[in-house]
Amino acid sequence: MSYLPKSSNLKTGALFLAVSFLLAACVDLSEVGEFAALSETANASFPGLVTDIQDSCERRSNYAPEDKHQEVLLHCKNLSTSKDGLLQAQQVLLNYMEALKNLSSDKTVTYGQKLDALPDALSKAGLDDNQVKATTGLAKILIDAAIGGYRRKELGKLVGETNGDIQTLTLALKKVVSVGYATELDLEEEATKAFYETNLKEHAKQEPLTALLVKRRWADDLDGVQKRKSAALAYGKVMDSIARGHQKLYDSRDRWSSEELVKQLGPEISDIYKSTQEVYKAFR
Amino acid sequence: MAKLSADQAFELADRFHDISVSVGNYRFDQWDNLTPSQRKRLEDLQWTLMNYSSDFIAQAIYLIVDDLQGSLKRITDATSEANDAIAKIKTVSKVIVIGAAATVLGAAIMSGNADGALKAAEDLVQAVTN
Repeated sequence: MSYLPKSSNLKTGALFLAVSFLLAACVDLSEVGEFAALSETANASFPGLVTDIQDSCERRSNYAPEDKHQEVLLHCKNLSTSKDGLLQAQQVLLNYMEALKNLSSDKTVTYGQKLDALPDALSKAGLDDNQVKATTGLAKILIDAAIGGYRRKELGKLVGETNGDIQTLTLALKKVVSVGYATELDLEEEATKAFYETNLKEHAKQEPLTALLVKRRWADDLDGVQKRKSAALAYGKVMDSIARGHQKLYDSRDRWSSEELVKQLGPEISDIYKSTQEVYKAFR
Repeated sequence: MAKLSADQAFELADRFHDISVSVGNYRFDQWDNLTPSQRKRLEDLQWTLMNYSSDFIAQAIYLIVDDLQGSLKRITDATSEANDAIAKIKTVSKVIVIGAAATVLGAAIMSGNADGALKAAEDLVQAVTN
């Protein structure tokens, strides 16, 4: 038997309807989280790639004639000047995506045992099953609405404040890897050719069997360079996808809806996932 | 001489790479027509060109990273603000506990259950003071 006055039931019902209406206009932020989480995973596998810019130069020194080996290594040191700065720049993007993911995640909030114990406490207070269910549901909805609203506000602010700088950063990282690292890999490829072809020209006629083995080794080395080139290309695509996805978040920051976000961010999430696999293959 | 931009440095890196490739190709194409000393000079030249190319890459990356400092500072500041917001959301958990206790007290009072109301009031005090 219910001891609650009927007017209270009506108020509860009206409040429930009002909250439901409010939530219908609200946003599921999981797509923002998914976008940010994928980008973060991508970034987490990238330090190896950034480090390889200098490593590629040092590998190249191994193909240099003996009297040039140290000279090449000396030039490679120039690349170390920016290595830390570059890794830090990438880390800033990683930290940002992590914050974006956490801010959009429901997991940020733990309701605690008190809320879990609420139905039992309400029963003991004299409410019947339906009233307990309605009251508990309403409490959770109100909390979700309040936190969701706050998260949306903060996310909108974050995306609004940083979009220009995120565009600058992703473009810069893309350029460093797609152009700078790619050219360094071209140099490594050229060095393998200089090394192996010189040896083949000098010794292939006298030692045909050794020449065969040298050709195989050359092919293996080129295969490694090719994998890294593909990774550099994939890295550029990830940066493009992050920039595009973030721009979409920025453009629609005042009117996010889950349906719209799924539609808008879907291609970026898919691109980032595919490209990340490419980088992972080369630098796992 | 005016300073190079990052794009110009990358462009030069690319050009020096291309010239080094041409020198290498010439050495192999003309291998039989060159003396060992000529081959060695061309080989050394090719490696020098490759080193220059790499130097221009290093210069371009340095300029890009240097140029990024303002953006990195702003993104880091915004990230800190976002992390503060996340911390605030976490403190909401405490508010939730208090809210839940208050809900039970309200229900107990409305139901007219005196023992329940008393217990709920004690729980609320505990939730606030904990």
